[in-house]
Amino acid sequence: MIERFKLWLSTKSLAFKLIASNVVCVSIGFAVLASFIFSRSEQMIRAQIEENAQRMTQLYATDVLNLFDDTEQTVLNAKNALIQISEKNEKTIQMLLSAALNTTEHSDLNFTDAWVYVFASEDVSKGTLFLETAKNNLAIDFKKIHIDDFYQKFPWFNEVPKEEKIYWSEPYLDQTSGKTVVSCLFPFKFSESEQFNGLIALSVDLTNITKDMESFSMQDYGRLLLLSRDGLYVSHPDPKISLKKTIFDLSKKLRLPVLSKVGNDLKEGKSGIVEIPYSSVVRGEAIFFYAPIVKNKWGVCLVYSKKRLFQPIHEFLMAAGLAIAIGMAVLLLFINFICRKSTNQLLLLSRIAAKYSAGDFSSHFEVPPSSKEINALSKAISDMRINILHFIEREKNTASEQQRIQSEMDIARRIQKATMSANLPESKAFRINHLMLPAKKVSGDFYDFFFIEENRFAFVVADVSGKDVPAALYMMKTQALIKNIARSEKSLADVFARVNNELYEGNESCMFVSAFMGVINIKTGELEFVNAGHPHPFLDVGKGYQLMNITNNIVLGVRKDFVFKVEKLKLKKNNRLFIYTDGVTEAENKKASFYSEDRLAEVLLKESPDTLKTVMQSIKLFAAGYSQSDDITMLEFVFLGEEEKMFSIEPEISKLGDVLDFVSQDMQNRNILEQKRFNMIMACEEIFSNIALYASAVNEIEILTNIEDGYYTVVFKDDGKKYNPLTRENPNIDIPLEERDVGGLGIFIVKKVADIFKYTYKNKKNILTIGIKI
Amino acid sequence: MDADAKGLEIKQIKKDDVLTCKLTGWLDPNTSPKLINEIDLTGVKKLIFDMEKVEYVFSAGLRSFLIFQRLMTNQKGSIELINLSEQVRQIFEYAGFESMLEKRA
Repeated sequence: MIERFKLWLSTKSLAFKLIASNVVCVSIGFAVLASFIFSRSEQMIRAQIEENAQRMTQLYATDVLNLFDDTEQTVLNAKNALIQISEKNEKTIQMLLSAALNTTEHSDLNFTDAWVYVFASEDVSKGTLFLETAKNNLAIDFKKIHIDDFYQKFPWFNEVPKEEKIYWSEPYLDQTSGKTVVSCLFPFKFSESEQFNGLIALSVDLTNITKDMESFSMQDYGRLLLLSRDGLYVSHPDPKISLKKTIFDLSKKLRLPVLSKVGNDLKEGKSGIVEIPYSSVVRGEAIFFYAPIVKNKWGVCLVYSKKRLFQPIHEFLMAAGLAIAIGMAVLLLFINFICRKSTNQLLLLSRIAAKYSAGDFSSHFEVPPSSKEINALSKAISDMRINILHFIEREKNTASEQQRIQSEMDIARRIQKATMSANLPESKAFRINHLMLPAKKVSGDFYDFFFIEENRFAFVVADVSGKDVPAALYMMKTQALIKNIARSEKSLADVFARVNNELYEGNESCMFVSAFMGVINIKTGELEFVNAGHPHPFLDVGKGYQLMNITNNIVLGVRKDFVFKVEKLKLKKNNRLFIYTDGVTEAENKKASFYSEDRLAEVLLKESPDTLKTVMQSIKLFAAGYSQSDDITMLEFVFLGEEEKMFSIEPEISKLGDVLDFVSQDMQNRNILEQKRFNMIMACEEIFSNIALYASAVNEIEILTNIEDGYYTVVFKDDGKKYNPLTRENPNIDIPLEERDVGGLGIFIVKKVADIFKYTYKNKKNILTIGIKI
Repeated sequence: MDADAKGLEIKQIKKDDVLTCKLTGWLDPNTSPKLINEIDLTGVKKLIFDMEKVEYVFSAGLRSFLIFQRLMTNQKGSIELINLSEQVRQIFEYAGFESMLEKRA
């Protein structure tokens, strides 16, 4: 959840975050401050109001109490006077009453009416009631009313206890005057009398008091209420309630038990403060302060509208809140403005940076200075552009330099390649296969082959220590040395000795060369070879390639005047030699293991039309894409011996000249010595003549010539009747010439002149081989 | 090998009863009959072959000389071969014809 919020927040702009955090902080601060101010103000206001209320309620309670006291006093005065008069007639009672009413100290008492009821006789039921109805004009008519009518007219009168005691009625609306009045009654006895002789009643106008209270109520936030003994609302702004409903009625109706509590408290003479959620007086939340008028269990209530009471605080807080809100709005506008300005520039900078990252450095940019941070960033990006441009420029130069070196290396490679394989010799006596795969552009390996003399052919495979350009330079030097010295020195040992010394001189970089060199007489197959610390070649003399067991010697260029041991070998037709550098056996794969001599030996043993290609494929398979670390060089020398020549001719003696011409020419081409040539011509003439003159059923004679194993051979093949001339008896050369037989001399001469004279019959052909050692 | 040498040229010089034949070329089955046919031995007591310009003498040639040997023996004459090259002499020696040859100096 928090992570999600953070994620959401991270996508919002800086301005949003600043504004949001400001709003939250200021709101919290304001709420704390407002609640503090509110509670403190409330406390103060409450304290003040309470004091005020107590004073007010007490004041009014006292007023009401005075009114009651005065009224009671007046009633008692009148009673005392009435008791004292002996003649109780209309006139005396009227006088008495007027006097009594007029002696009242408090002239502000408004009596709406006063009665004196005097029972005319012992019999109460026959009594006559006297009434007086105006305070200031006592000269009113006494009415005589029958008691029954009286009861009928004033039913509540029955409730008045028949005791010699003041009795207060509940307030009521006087029908005649339309005023709120309350009546004070006193049943009296004329002295020691057993019976009540009458009743004095005085109605007091409460209008002054209620008006006074209402005038106080005009002050809006509070209202004064007067409650009667039964909890009746003597004064209430609502006419439906005033004098009609009690506080208990409202308690029930509004479901506010707290009102009943107020009513009961007042009855019990207690004062207090309560808060009520709704008051019909103020139409809302209110605080009730109440004080009893203990004497007759009435009460005075002061009702404050809470809303009105605390309105100033609310208004103050509202105003403060508004002021803060306006201030904050202005602040936010500023923040927003500053942020937008900054972030706009950040956006501008990010667009520029994006442009740069896309590789477009063409435009320099201007960001108007705004803030310290933006200026720093702007400068950094501007500097970065300049630095990158410099860097690119430098890179370009380096790249072109690199390119130049590359192309020079390519040229070097071509030169090196040309040096090595340009002069592939044209000879039928052998075949050379070679393969080189430099690890770098140029190689430290080399192979070379060249004729030293007409029949002496040399081949070299060498490996210069190190790689790349230094190795390549040293390689060129070594190659040139070997080639030049080989042509002037007869002995291979001397060649290597001199090359070694030449390389040793001035070999400051301590390089060295491993090399294998062979020189073969292509006529005879005699091979001389020397190995200077080079991997041993493989030799195939007809049973497949085998590792040669030869002398190692030391590598070239490290020890002056070293004596190299040269070894000899005689190659026959189709014998092969496989020479290589350690780039082959030390080719690596991912697991850092070497291709090894064993693997090479295994691959070489397999028959293959192209040995080098097969080996190379095997290496690649082994390396499996792992990069080549050393130059790979392979050279295969296959000795073919002399080229076989063939000639076909009909078995006609007239063709003898052609046959001898062919053989003679062939021998000259092969540089056969004159004496040897003579013998061979002799032998060939005899054989051909023999076949041409005497053989039967011959269609064609095939003549093949070659040099093999130190012999020049001529083979005659004919498809005639099987005949072995070697079985012919030799002529007896010891008898006198006159007695000699003329036949048999030819074959005999062949036997004399030829070193080899063989006959075989194969594929239905007579095959005669004549050979002369050369 | 000289192409002309394949043939055979015979130059005969007769002085009293001595016939000297100067041979040029070689003696093979093709040329040897010419030798037999062209040389007239009538009244010849001594037959001399100058072999200076003979390159090869094959068995056919040897046989021709054997025939001349017999003919000369029949008419109580003699035969001699002179100026042989070393190689040709070797052939005559192989064949056991030394008696025909000029004695070595």
